[in-house]
Amino acid sequence: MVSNQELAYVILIGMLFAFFLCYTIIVLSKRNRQVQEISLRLVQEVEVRKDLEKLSIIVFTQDEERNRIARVLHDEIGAILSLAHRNLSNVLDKTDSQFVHYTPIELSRQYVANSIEQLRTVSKGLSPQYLLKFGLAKALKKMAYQKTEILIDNLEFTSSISEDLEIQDDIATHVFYIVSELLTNLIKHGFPSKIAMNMDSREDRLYLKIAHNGIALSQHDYNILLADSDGLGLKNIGYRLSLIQGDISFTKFDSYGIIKLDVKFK
Amino acid sequence: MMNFEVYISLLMGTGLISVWACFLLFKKTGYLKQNGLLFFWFVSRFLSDLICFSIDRGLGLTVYPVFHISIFIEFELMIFFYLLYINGRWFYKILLLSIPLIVLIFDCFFIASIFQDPVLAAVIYYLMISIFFIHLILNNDLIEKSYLNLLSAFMTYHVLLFFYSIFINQISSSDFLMATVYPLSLICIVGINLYIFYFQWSLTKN
Repeated sequence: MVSNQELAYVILIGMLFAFFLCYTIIVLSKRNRQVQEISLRLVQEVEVRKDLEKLSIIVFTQDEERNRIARVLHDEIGAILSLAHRNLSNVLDKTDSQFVHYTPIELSRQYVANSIEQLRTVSKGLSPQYLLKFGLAKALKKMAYQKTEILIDNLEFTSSISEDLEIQDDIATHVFYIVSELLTNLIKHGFPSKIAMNMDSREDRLYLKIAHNGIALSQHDYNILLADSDGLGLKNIGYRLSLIQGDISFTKFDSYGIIKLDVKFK
Repeated sequence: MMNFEVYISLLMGTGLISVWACFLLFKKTGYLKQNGLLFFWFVSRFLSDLICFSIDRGLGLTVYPVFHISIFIEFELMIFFYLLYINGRWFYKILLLSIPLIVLIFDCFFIASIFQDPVLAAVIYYLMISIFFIHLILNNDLIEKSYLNLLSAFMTYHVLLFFYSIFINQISSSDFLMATVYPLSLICIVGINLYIFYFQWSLTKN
């Protein structure tokens, strides 16, 4: 027969054991949950990385293809059209203006001249050759003036980056297209009359600030638009930024807005 | 050694706190099903303690019928709570929900009587609910993160009281065991009562 004292010991030790058993189960269960969460996060990170790699290949292929098409248009079709224009000009130079076929030939020469002009525009749009020849700062300045020429009152572009600064071609191309898209969107939706652009570099980072007096976006607005918008423009900005690990920030003030781009260029 | 008044004061005081905390939780968190069940579980425990105390002290009648009913209600509510996290077939759910009734009938009519201590019902209740909570804790992806600690506390409470309920006949018949072991069960009850208050406070604060 077990005495009461022995029974008390048995119950106390049993309850203590049960308590530690519960404690162990809880600790193990929490560890298990942490491991599951970490695994899930890792899987998500791997998926994001895979998506980025895919995207990088797509954008790279797209840019390569654009360059190839631009080269073909400029070097081959452009050359043929230039020859045709030159020949037509020669014919017109040697022909009397009273000649019965003078006008159609003159018109054809003008059509060819227009085609050459349009071909150059398309070619420039497809591949920023100017960027590769003269660098990012000059290309951005030229592109900004072209885009805003008759649409705004005042564009100011300043750059304090050195001409010797070496920016990788792919990063420069991405930055060029991002800024191009930003300016297009700004003019289309923000209706500014003044834009001031400033480019700067510190260590291995490139900073670009666009200040404007149009309708501004806040960072929150941008995040919502990026998540919800079906448009390609913002998505394109987001994709290109993720490829070059760049940051963009939008600040909204009462009468103006500032867009800041921060990119690692090495 | 604590006397009876201290035990009762602790039970009633912390019981009332737990009911109030559950009511706040029930009210502030959008009437979630879990909180509703917790509220009714704490209310049933508090009411059974209050009724038992009144019957025993005021009328001098046996309190065991109240124990039977109280364990039955608590058992049902805890099974409901468990079923909120389980996607089982309706047959399986009905089978689980009928267990407390079967245990009540067996305990009252076949094993003992309604006027005896519901030992079998208590042991089965604590055992089954401990198993259910261990199952939930081990499959913790079923549980909301904020409720994991609460379920851990409930699991510990039921496991400890399961061990206590096995020896309930020996404990209640010995003054020595009542003085040495009973305070442990009281600590468990007071602990869970105070924990729900802390849980409510931390959840609504966050």
